[in-house]
Amino acid sequence: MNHAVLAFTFPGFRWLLDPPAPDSTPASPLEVDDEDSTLLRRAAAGDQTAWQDLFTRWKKPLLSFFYRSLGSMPDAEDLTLEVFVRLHRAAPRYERRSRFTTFLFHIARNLLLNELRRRRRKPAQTVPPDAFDYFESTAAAEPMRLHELEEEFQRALGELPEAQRTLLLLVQQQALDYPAAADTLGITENALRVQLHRARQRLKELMSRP
Amino acid sequence: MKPNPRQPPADAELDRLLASQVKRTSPEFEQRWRERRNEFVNRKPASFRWRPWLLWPGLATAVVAVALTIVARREATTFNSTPPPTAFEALLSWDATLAAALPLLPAENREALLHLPAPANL
Repeated sequence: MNHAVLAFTFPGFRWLLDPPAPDSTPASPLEVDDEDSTLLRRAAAGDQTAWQDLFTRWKKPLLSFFYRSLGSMPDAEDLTLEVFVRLHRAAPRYERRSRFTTFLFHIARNLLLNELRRRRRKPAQTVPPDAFDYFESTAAAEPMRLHELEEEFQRALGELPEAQRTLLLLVQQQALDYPAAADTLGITENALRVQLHRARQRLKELMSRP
Repeated sequence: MKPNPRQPPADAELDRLLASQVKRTSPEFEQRWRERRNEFVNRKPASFRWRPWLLWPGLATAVVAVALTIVARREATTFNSTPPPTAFEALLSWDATLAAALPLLPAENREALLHLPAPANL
């Protein structure tokens, strides 16, 4: 039996005879070679500097995302470190078919959902407003008002449904564009626009509720 | 005048709060990270192992190949079948058996046999 017959009968054999050349397909618009993807590739190869660079770039965004989602800084720290553990595990299989941020926040959201499922009611371990970068830009405002705003904001966020809260944080805190945020949440861009508007309205209502 | 904290936040305030990020991280957190980072570097993640993925397709291919070989050999045997060569011992045995009929072969007997009437059914 010749190779052609085997190749026709068994696709795996065809692949062995003629393996696809790497990057033979044309680059799709989603295939982005951003800096983070490059860093992750280097990190996967055991480059310590690359791991440190990735951490330096993403520690504050991830801490902020988890803190605003859970209202607890120790939990936010645990989950942020866990994101990097997952990144380390997934690094060899990472394909640059989607953006790094989408990949990263997929991991972050899965961890968040696991944590929310696992935990029941947990007392909030909040941090003062001066732990955030907005404090400096509003330093002229009355400190009392800032504390109250921060407290109300964190409480209202905690009362929002998870999907709405995550949507607001991805778009406004992490500055993900609509396609990336929609991809992370598994919804369409149109649905995202509608949900974003509703989430903002709901947050305002919750913040003004006594 | 003290602002009312229960009034809805202005859009700008809400945007600032939503966009806010932590300014610093704790030394304990950084220390935990350094420990993790060292683990990452010392213990490389398991890379994709392609051999297990080839095991079952390879096994199936081998089984099919063996089956095809067996079928092909059987077909070849059927088409090329020839009567088995007569053994030398068998020839000697026939010679011994037929030796008793030798008297039928002289010429006068042969002539008589040729003029026998043919059976009716031929």
